[in-house]
Amino acid sequence: MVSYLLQRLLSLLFTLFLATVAIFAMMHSVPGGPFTFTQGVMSPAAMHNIMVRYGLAEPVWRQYLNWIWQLLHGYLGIPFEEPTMTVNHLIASAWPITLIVGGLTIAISYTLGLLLGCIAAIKHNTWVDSLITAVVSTIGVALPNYVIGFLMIEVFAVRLGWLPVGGWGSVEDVIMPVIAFSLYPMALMERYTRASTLEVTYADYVRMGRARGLSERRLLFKYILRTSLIPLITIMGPWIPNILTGSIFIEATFALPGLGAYFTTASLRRDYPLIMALVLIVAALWGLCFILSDIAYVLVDPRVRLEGVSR
Amino acid sequence: MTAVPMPVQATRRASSSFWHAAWYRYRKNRLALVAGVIAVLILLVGLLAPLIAPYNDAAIDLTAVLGGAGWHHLLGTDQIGRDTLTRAMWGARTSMSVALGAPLVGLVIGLPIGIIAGWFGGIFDWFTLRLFELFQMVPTILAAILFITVFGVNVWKLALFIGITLWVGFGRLARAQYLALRERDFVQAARALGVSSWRITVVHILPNAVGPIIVFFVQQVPYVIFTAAGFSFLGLGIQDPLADWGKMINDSVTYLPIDPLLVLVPIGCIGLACLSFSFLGDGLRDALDPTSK
Repeated sequence: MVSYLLQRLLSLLFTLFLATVAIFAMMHSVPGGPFTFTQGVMSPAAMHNIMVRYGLAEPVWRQYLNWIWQLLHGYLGIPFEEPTMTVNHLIASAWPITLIVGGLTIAISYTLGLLLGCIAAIKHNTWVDSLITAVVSTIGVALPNYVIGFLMIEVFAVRLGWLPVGGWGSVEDVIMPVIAFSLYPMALMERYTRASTLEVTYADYVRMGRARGLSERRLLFKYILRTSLIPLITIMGPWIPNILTGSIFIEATFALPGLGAYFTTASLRRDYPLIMALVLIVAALWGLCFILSDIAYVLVDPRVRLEGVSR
Repeated sequence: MTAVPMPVQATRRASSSFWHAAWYRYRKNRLALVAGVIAVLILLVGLLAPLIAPYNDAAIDLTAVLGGAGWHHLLGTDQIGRDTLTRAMWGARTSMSVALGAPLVGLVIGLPIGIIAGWFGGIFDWFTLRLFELFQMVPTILAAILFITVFGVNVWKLALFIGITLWVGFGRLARAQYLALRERDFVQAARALGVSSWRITVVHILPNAVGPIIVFFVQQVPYVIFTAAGFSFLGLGIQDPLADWGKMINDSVTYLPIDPLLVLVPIGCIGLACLSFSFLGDGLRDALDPTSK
């Protein structure tokens, strides 16, 4: 197991390296730069000073090596848009907000989705099933989450005045973003839970158990759910990094000072250090979640073995 | 999702051809049928927008600003007096171009790569899997925004940029299909007869793999509509004077207290399009792959 983990982590590092090289090359290969303005063009001397100041005067491969060197020292550089701070500070101040909203979203949407999916599968082909499936899948897939966010703001904040319009500071600020953000993952979770539970419900071994006279409750918890929930690890696991790095749209709608806004501003302003940091965060989280979900899969499903690992 | 239980004799009766049977199963699914009709209607409206729209899509009428619904403008007018019904119809044209164009780009890139990986295996497969990993790690929104800020945006560029982020899904699906079909008897038989690789992959295997690919394609449509509307929301999407549902929402949110129709019409359009394509996708999946739930 340890050697397997090491192997996976090494290959993750290698892919991370490739991903950062790719993004770095892409950023630098397109014409223009962070200090190329259409209005108020600087004198060549001033331009040169700025390029030297931010290390942009060197050849691109050299810049990449510099970046790697800084990274190995835990330093992510100075963001062009806020030169008085470091990228480390920027992320340390913004990410916790995104993490709180994302964590709550995962907790709520995954539990509710799981619960509703199970209920729908147990009550298969009854009105309960149709109602849950219709309502959940409709609100989940019909509208983008930020549109739902707008409507919620209009109704609950502007018309009724129950909740704050947006921003960050009080506990109530969390409520609407989390609800709007949760709808889509919840719908996904409900659909997959229902489908995989249904598949198991009609499996021969369950029918056999029923014929054998096992109680429905025992069948459900010991035989059906234990099997049916396993595939969800690989389906819903990869969504976790997505949610934890935040939604640009949700954060913009509710004016949350989280990480999401930087995804837009960093690419719009060609803020190289910030873009690289964001890419690194997302890519590393992705990779880790993939490895963790593979391991979790092996731990809960005795039928699956990792390549080259004996239990 | 709403799979109708299949009567056994029905499958047998229609087993003359796979597509025949699939059409039979699809027809039985009332929700999917309705969704399919609505999806086709939306596409038709988009296609025929220049002919059926009551006004010119960019015609500004400052005497009828924010007029509200009435006989002259059935769904009212926006803040510079453009007819909302006309804008919604032209919006169908742009939104649907992107919604269908982006998965098409993903398909064109992903399918050949997936086929090569699944069919040839070995080093090709290893390399492709690393490529999948690599592309999945890079945050798609970041890449798309970077493209838009550098190359600018119009309907086809938007479809291209979103499509580039979709190819991994198509690639994975094609690879899985070809990996599974490669060992089947009919492929072995064709091989034994000395049919060329190229002919086997395109003429013999592709028709067998096309079902799940169609389903996946249709399922991407709502996702693309969301994403394209999101770009409009950030001000990076379709630009004036073109009409686009996402842009219509964002342009008129400020006028919500004056005329809620301005926001509700595009929201209704997006909702209807997403729901109909989503149910169409579910229906197609149930029809083309009867073993899945």
